[in-house]
Amino acid sequence: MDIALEGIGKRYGNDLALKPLDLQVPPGELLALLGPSGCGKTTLLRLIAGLIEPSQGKIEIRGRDVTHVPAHRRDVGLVFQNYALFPHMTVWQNVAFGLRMRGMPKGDIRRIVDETLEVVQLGRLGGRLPTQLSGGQQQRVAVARALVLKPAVLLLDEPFAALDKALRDQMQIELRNLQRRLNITSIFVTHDQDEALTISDRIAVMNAGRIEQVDSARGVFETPKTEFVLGFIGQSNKFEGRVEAANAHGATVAIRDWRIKVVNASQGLSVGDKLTVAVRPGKMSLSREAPAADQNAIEGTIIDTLYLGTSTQYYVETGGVRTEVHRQNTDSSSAEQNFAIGDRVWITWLPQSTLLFPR
Amino acid sequence: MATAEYTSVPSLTYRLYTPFSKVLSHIAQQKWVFLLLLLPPLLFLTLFFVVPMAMFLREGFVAVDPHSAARTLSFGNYVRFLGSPDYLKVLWNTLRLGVIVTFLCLLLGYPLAYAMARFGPRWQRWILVAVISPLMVSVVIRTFAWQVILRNRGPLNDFLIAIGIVDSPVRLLFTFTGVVIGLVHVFLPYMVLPLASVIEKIDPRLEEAARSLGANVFRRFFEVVLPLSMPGILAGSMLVFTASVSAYVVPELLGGERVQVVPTMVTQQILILLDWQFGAAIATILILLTLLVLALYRWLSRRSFQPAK
Repeated sequence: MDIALEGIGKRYGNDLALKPLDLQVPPGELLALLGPSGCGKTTLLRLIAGLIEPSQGKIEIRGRDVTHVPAHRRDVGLVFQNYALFPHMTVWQNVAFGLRMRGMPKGDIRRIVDETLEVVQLGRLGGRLPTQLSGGQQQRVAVARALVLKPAVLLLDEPFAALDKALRDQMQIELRNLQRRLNITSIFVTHDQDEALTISDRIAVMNAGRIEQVDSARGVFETPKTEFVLGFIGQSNKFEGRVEAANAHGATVAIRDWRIKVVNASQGLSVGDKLTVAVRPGKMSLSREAPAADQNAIEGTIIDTLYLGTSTQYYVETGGVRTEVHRQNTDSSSAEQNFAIGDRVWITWLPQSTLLFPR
Repeated sequence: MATAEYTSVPSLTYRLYTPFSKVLSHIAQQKWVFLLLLLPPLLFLTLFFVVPMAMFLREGFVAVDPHSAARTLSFGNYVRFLGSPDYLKVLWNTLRLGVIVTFLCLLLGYPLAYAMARFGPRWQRWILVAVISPLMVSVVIRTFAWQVILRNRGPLNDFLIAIGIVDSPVRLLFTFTGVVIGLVHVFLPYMVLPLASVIEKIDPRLEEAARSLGANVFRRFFEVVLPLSMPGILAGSMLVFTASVSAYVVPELLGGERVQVVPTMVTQQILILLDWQFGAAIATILILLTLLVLALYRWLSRRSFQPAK
C-alpha cells in the first residue's frame, strides 16, 4: 500500500470534522475523494499532506509512519485549489522552488526543472509569469511544481474547479494520462461526480465526516451501499416499500399494489421490514403491454417528455409518485415506440437492478 | 394574502424607481455630466490650493530691495540656502529623520499589519483601534502628552531606571530621538493600513505551498510573503516619508530649539523673521526633494514587479 490510514480522525473543538476512518490506496491508483462541501474530503487530503495534524489515528506512506512528520518530509506532492502558484516567480522559478529549498546544486536544479517542464509540455513557457498563462497551463505548472521532488504520492485539491467546462474535460484526460504514464499514486478531491466517475480508478464517497463507500466507478453507481451514495451519484427513482416475503434467493417487496422481486441484497430482510426501493432511470424501460412475469413492472401515465438528442427522458405518474425513465434514442427505437404525453405505460426493470435501503 | 402584499411592495417601488433610474443613467452616460460634477471640487482646489501655492512658491524667486521695496526676479534665496552648511545640515537632518521614521514604522508596523491581515476579525478590530488611536486625539494634545512621558523625570525614564537599563535619566525630550519616537507613533497607521490590505490579499495557500515544498518560516517570509507585500511596503513608506519630512507640530514640541527641521525653519523664516521669500525658497527645495524621493520609490516599485529572470 502506498497510503494507509488507520483510524484517522480530526476534531475541531467539539466538532468532529472527520470521524475515525481507514483507507488504503495501492501503488499507481488514482483515487477520488468525492462528496458535497463540508463533508471532510479536503480535511482528509490536508491530513495526508501534513498541512494539519490528526486528532487520532495513524498515517503511513509506503509503509513509513508519517503521522507526525512535517509536510515537506512526507514524500508527497501537493496541487492546491486554484494552484497557489507564486505570482512573483516565473514558471521556471515556481518549479525550481522545492529543489532550491532542498539546497540542491544549481546545475542539478536546472536539469531537473527543464526535464519536468518537458513532461508537462511547458518547456517553452519557463520564462512566463503565472498570470500570463491560461488556466490549463497554470494547472500544469502546479502539477510540475509538485512532481519535481519525485514524490511517492500526488495529492490534488479540486484540481479542475478553476477551469471552464471544455478545458476541464481536456485537462481531466491529460492528468489521467500523465498519472498513468508516471504510474504515480494519486488522490484528488472533487465535488463533481462526473469528474470522479471519468478519471478515477476508485472513488471514496464522503458525507458528514465519514467515508460512505470506496469502490470503482461502476461499483458506486450500480451497487451504492447507502442512500447517500445513491443520491449523490447519478439520479434515481425512490419508492417506499415493505417486505412481503424473503428467503436466501431473493425477496418480494410491496410498493402500494405492485409486487417487486429482488434478487441481490436480500440477506437480513424479514417480513414486514420497511424499505426504500430505488431504481436508476436508465435501468428502466417503457412498454405498452403488461411485461413478462420475470420483470418488475409498475403502471402509470406519461406526464412529460424531454428529448435530449442521444436520449429521451420520460416522466411518468405512478400512483402519485413521479418516476423518471431514460431511454437511449437508437435507430431501432421505431416511431410506434415513441411515447407521448397521456399514454398509459408499463415501466419495467430487471430484479437485479433493484436497490434496497433500510428505512 | 400576506405574501401577496409583501411581494407587491418591491414591485411598486420598482415601478416608481425604474423610469427615474433610466433618466438618471441616461444623464450619467453623458460625458459633460461628469465634467459638471467635477467642476466644484476642481474650482475649490484651484482657488484655495493651486493659486495660493503658486503665489507662495513664486515668492522664492523674488528678491526685495530693503530700501525701495522693489521686487526683482532672483535666485539669490536658493544660492543663499545651498551655499550655507548650516541650512544644508537642517535639510540633511530632515531627510534623515524621514528615512529613520519610515524604517522604524515599517519594522514595527509589519508584524502588526501581518497579524491584522491573518489572525482573524477579533485581532483585526483591536489592532485597528490601537493603531489609529493617535489619529483620534488632537496632534497638539498628543504631543504634549509625549512631552510628559519623555521628560527626564517622566514615566519612561522612571521605568528604564527601575528595570536597571540605565542609572540616570536619558535625555529624550528636545532630542532627535524624542522627535523620532513622536513621529513613529503618529505615522504608524499610515504604514500599517496599506500594508495590512496588501497582505490580506496574499493567498494564505501560497505560504502552505511554500511550506509543503520545504521552505522554513524564514524562507517563507523572505521568498514569498515579503516580495508579495512590496506594493504595501512602498505605499506605506511613501506616505510615512512625505508626512515625516513635512511634519511641523511634533518636531516643534518634542524637538524644541535643539532639533531644527525644514518645516520649523520655514515657519521661523516666515513668522518670526518675516522673510517670506527665503521661507518660500526653502519650502520649494523640500517639495522638490520629496518629489524626487517619490519618483525613486515609483521606479523601485515598478522594478520590483518585473520577473527576475
